[in-house]
Amino acid sequence: MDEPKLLARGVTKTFHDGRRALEVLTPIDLTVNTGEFATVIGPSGCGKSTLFNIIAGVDQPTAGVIAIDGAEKGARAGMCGYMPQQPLLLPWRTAEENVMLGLDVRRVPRKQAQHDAHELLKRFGMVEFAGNYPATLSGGMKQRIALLRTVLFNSSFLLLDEPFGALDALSRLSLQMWLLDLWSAFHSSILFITHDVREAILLSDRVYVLSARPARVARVVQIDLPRPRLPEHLALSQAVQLEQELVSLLMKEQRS
Amino acid sequence: MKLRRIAGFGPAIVLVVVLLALWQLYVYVSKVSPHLLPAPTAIVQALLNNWDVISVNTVQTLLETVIGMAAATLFGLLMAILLDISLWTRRAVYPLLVVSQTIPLIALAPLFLIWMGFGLEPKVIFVILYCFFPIAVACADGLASAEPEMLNLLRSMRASRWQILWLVRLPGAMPAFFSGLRIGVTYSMTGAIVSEYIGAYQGLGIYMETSANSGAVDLVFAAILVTAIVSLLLFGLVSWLERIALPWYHGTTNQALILPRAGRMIV
Amino acid sequence: MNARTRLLLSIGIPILLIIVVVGAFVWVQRSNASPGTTTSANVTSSASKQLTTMTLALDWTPNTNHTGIYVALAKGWYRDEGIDLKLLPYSANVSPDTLVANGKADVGISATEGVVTDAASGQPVVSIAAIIQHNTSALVTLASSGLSRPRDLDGKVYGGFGAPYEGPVVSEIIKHDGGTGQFKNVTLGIDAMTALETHRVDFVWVFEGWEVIQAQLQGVKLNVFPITNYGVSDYYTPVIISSPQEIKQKPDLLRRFMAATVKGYDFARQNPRQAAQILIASAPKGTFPDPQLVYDSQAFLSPRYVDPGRTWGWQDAPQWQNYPQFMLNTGGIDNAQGKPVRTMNFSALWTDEFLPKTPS
Repeated sequence: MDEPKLLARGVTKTFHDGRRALEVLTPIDLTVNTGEFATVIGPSGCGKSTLFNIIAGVDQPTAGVIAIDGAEKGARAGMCGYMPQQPLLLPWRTAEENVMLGLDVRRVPRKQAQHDAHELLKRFGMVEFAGNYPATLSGGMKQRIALLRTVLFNSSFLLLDEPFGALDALSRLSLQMWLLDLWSAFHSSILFITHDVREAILLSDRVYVLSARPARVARVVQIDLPRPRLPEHLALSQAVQLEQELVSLLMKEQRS
Repeated sequence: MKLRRIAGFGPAIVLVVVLLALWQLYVYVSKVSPHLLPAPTAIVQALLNNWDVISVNTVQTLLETVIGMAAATLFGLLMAILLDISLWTRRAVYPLLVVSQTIPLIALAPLFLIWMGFGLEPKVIFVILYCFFPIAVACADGLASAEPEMLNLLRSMRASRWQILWLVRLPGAMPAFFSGLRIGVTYSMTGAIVSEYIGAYQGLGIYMETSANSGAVDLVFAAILVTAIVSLLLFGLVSWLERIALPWYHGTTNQALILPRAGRMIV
Repeated sequence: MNARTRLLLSIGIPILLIIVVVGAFVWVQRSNASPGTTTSANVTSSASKQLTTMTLALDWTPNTNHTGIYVALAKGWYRDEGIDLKLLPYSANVSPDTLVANGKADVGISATEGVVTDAASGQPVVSIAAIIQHNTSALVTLASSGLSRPRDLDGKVYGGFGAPYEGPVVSEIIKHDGGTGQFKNVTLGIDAMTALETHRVDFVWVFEGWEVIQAQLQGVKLNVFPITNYGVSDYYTPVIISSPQEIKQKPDLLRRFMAATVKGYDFARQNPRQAAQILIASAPKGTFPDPQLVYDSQAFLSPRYVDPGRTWGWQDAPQWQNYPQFMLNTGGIDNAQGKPVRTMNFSALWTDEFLPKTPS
């Protein structure tokens, strides 16, 4: 197998607030292979989002190495499709214009960007909302538009930070399936954050469990459920066992 | 929708009519001299009789107002961006901006006259000084209120700081900008008039001064009436522009801006 | 409507408004250009002659003190001298003295008090003609107040224009009549007669030729105390002023200006009614709500422009000596550092060199 999409080795992060030092990440080792769907779960506040910011190039690690597509040096910004927890749609742009945002930053000609965005919306069944403003979209819709924006910017490597956390159960399920659809269509490598164990099991190939702050990798779990995943797979005994294992691990980490 | 909006002005119109009626009644009953307090009917009469002169002066003042206001808007925007660029520029420039507003501009106007003469430039500069500050401050606050998460997102896309300003922060500051603009435009005509009051060939300000000195108080009120109407129109224009530029801001989800049963009201 | 269209509209509509307003402005200027009225800086092209533009700063809204100038304008006498005269309207906040001293106006209208004060504060102007030969100022009270002579004014409220020498001069007038000269002095922001009629003040300083006549027409009864009757030396007010720089650099212009102005006042002296009509027609519309005031005032003032046998405008030394010295003696005239000025070279304050003929 060729080099991994993402290789993070010995990554630490310490925040300095005046004289206090807050150690958020103690050495983290993490890989995402090409085409793999990896998930990071951990107790709240353990530093998952901080890790994401570092990988996305928005923040810098205090120590450690991060290589995307084997490249250690150089700016990481722009090398992954980054989606923070909020959909962050620009209220003055229509859905289609929001999807175009990444291409606008890349200075792709307007006509081209519009065409690409429109095609993407069509492909994933959102084209009827192309001209809507975010204010008129439901939570689930907004997340989908945000995902499409992310994918249009960079479909090879996606960083998704709890994108479905704020949705109700039904919307969440529908979106999870939709995401898997996206993933297979683009053969992306995905690094996904969630605190929902079932979601992690449903979606991923591998799960990294982080400890409480300061975070380190407590456990790496391989998910060997059949692909393509279906909601029913969560009822398999394998899945149930994994779920119990992960939940108890998380609870232990939460308490410590 | 149009009818609803017009109906929204109903209470204001009723109040104005009541006040005018009371005024008219008072003048009639107290028989106060027209040199001291003319009746509303006398004012309208004076306005119609002198329309040829008043309209000329109005156009002059209006010219100063719109040019000054346009310049003030640009200057205000520029100042806001300047304040936003770095903490150092903000620390250096902000106090000066505040001080510029504490100077009683009416004391400055005679100096303007002496330095720059009777032409258009001193009036325009005066209007700029009068109006740019609310625009600059509101817009600067709007720029500063950009969500950090959003900025992170843009940075993850490798956007330069100017791209972030143009794509995200400036458009995001537009609602605040417009609220500052509404304040500025309300004072714009007054600023032009104050500068004319000091000295001018023509304009509503000098017209009011001359009429007052001639004892033609009804003409002073007529000029005030014209000023009020034009200022209202300018305010309405800015509100209309805001609705065009920010349709997303005034959608149905923004309840705070819509008075009950009144459609879109200027707030 | 997408974002691009919205942006274009938001910028386009204001620009359109500006264009419309500028267009309206230019159109209004074109259709309103006429001589004699105070037009804007857009000069209408004259026939063939190259006219020199000259500005005159008025000391008040147009009144019968200014008649000669308006007559000369209307009859084209300034044009004949090659001058395009523009009248700068009066503004309460910048005096003609300041405008003239700073070169923003070629000539202006002021009074002896102004000229002396300007010289003391280091911004001198020079009086080049006296508009009225003898002083026509007076203190007035309402007849209904029962204040029938100056000494009754002790302890009463005076509404003045905020000049430092006013107090002492008024005090002298009262003392001359036997009073103690103590009174309350308030500076008025409003018209003096309005203040008097509404009982805000007890007495004010006015021109006999204007406010007194206005009161007569309005049926307001006044007690009038001409100041020269009560110990104040005769002095010139109003006068036409120019700056020392103007005098040095453009004497010929001033001479031509005075030539036309003298003609104007001579005409006004000999034809009061006609002159008044010209004044009413030339001044901005609405200046004279009551034309009768102009006629009556002109009838009063015309004979007083100049004494019989003399040419209009000529000044004599005593008027520039006695009252100015009196002003300085009151201690109310300060120099730029705030110290009272006691002596002054009065001959530098006035000149007759630009007037056309010698007095007989």
